[in-house]
Amino acid sequence: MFSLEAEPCPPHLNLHNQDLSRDEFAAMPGPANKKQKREQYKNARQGGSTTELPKKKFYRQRAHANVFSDHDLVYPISPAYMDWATYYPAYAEPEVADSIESTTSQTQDISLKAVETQDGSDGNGATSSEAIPMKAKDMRKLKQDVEVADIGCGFGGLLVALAPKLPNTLMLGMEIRTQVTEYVHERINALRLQNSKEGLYQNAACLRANSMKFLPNFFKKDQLSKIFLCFPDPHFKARKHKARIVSTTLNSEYAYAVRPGGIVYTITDVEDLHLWMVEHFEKHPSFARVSEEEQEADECVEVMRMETEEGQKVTRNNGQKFVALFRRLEDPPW
Amino acid sequence: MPYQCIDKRRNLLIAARDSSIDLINLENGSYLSTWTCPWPEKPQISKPEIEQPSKLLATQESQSSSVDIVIDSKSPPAKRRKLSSGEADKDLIKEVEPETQGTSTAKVTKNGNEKNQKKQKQNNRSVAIAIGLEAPAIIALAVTVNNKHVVAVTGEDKCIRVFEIVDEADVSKLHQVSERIMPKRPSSIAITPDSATILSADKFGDVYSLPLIPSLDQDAQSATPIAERPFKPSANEKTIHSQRNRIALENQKRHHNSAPKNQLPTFEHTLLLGHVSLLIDLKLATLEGKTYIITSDRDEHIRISRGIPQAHVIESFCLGHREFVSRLCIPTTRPGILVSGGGDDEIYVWKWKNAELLCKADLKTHVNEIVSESAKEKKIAVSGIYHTNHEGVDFVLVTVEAIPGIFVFKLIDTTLTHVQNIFLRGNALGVVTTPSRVITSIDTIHTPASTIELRSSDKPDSSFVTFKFTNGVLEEDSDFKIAGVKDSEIVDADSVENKRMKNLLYSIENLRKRVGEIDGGEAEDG
Ligand SMILES: C[S@@+](CC[C@H](N)C(=O)[O-])C[C@H]1O[C@@H](n2cnc3c(N)ncnc32)[C@H](O)[C@@H]1O
Repeated sequence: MFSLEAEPCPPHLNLHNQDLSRDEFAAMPGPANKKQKREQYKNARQGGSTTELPKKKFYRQRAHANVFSDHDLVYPISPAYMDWATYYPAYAEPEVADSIESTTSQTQDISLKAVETQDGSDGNGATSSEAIPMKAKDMRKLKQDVEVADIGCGFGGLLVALAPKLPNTLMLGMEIRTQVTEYVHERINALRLQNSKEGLYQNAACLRANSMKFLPNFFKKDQLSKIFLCFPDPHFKARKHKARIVSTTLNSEYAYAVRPGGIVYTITDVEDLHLWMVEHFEKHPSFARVSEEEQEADECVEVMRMETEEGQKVTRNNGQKFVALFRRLEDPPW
Repeated sequence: MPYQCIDKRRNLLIAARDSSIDLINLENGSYLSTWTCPWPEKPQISKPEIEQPSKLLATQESQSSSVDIVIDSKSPPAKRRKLSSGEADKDLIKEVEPETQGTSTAKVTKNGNEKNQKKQKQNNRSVAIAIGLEAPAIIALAVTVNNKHVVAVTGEDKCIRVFEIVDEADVSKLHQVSERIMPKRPSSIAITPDSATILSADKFGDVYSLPLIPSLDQDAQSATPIAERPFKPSANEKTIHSQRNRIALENQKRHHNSAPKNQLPTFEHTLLLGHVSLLIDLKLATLEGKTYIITSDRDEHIRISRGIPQAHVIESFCLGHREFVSRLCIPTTRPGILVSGGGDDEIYVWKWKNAELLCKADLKTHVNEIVSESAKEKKIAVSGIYHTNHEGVDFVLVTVEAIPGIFVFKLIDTTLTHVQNIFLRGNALGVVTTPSRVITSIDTIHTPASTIELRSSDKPDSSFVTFKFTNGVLEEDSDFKIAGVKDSEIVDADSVENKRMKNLLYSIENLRKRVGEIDGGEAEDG
């Protein structure tokens, strides 16, 4: 496995590796042989080049990650430095881009030539979640941008159901828990291989990220047409409100990433959280609630209800699901 | 005591040392007057704020993961306080009113995980620091555009204080006209060009606006239209269906009784925008008649938002820094340009409106030109970026934390070029520029390049050094002397006073992300 600790940060990425081991151990309480079993299992998966779907039990992780902590996160310095081609190889331009346009020629030290491979992987898309591609030297552009983000995607049910329904749209799951991200990654890889003839699932990918801090590192202004916030953690405690994925101030960041006309989808089984999200989006001047009629006509809503892992749990328990959609409005002139 | 922050208003130098603000005549360097911050328990602070600490205690206890500080209730009130500004994001200590507490020691909760132990260590030190401290220290200063008011932030009590500059018998003085305790400690403040509104960026990542002069009738109720309301846990076992949420609800119930209600300030304040990160600097910019708010955080971000009333609209992010961004500077002559610096080796120059990086100028090399061999490996943290225009040429002056120098650059077109290093007798603290001079306050108690080591006190030094342009180069202006203010001295490098001084003067490098560290202590525990 590649080590985040040993290597210097490549110029195009910010690597804040803050105590990888602690996070990993926290993720896997219990006897050491559990960890061994996981490793054996994962090794047997041949680096993801198998059609066999991964088993969830090898990827479980403590429920709550601290969204304020300096995790061992890897993120691009800016969207221009994001090597999307490793995530969506089927959508990559054949040519290697030799310069990043958004930086000027005066900034030589961030030129891509000097960048070395950090993870030793072959960059074919089968890298694990931490290994956000670092081979900027070989960075190929995508023919189209990612347009859909599933924030806190969990085990990836929504992505996997949505990918064939929106076959020409690139969608990205963002998940803060390493193990869970890895599971989704393996899951998508297996599905890609199973469906290689039809070319399905090439439009879905997942990476590890703290979306509350680093969304603008991944997405340009107005890049997204849809954001999904499915069954977010409720954070009941008042003092934890800043940890919620929906807040007045974070909604400004969603408004930045979503283009006017785009939709933010929310669903939860916690009524108070639903009311909270409605209140905070409705009072945000950049959003307006989508009518129920329009909401029910949107095919994504059914997917959100029935295909997310959390949605399925709620169904099994005969629980209620609260849905609310919000349209990104045009900004007034300034 | 050295002056940790300085600002100016026409011919007035406003200089903060510890918990006092001195006014000095900038024309002849003569001393005018001093305002000293009263001790927190004095009646200047109104009731709601006094109630706050005991509520905070409740918060802390409810979390079972943090440590409460209770200083001996027999000690005089003035000596009770929490750690000074310096400890930046490690500000985990809450002040406790002894009246509400019978105990007299720092108590540590059972939960002995690594994080708690870290907290405990910090708190033990702060207990030491807390004893023998006086009033809160000034951590930020701003002057209104109309030159009528000064705004200061005192750190430990998270207080924004507004002063009127009054002239009594030809002597300028500061008269405090209001004090407002903010929900979180402000880290940077700015005042709108119409001199009507204060913007305060805090360690929780939020930016609030508050009227410079609070209007009386609005004071009674909070006029915070978008403040977050407490979240009532009306969810129950029947409405919750996932393991994750059930655990969350159980936690909520366990803490139910001791959970305090949101302690919103009672004065008018509006949440404008927020980062999920610690904010370090905040600047207001005006371009083509429109105002913008520029904020920088510990996670390498510079955010450009529209000004009031559209501060919810993010225009762009200037992304490129690899470390925290501690200082922003918009040259008055070039309002479209932003110069930024922080934990990186370079200073960045942006066309901020469309987030275009224009150039990066190396700073580390120049710092290494003036430090000893052994210090060359050390990381640098930008503590100040200032602009001055001399004979049509734009100069950018940069100071670095705990470095005895000023690094002078020329901004020509879109390029920043190094022109000069100025050596100082002490570490640079603050800089103000006048059309003819550059005045810098220096650390007179520590040896150059050190944050701890004390100088021998038999050679007292002036707290200010003045420079003037001579043939396009800055040279010391030894004719211009600024009156010194007699002050107490620190005699022991290991003393709590010295540690406190270090935290007050040198807090920026602490923001660097380190292995095994948890960010946002406040964010988590506040
Ligand atoms: C209750 S789960 C819902 C998973 C999925 N959306 C579903 O409906 O099945 C919430 C997920 O959000 C993730 N999460 C929480 N905060 C996050 C953040 N700041 N960035 C990315 N993911 C986050 C958690 O790790 C968790 O997997």
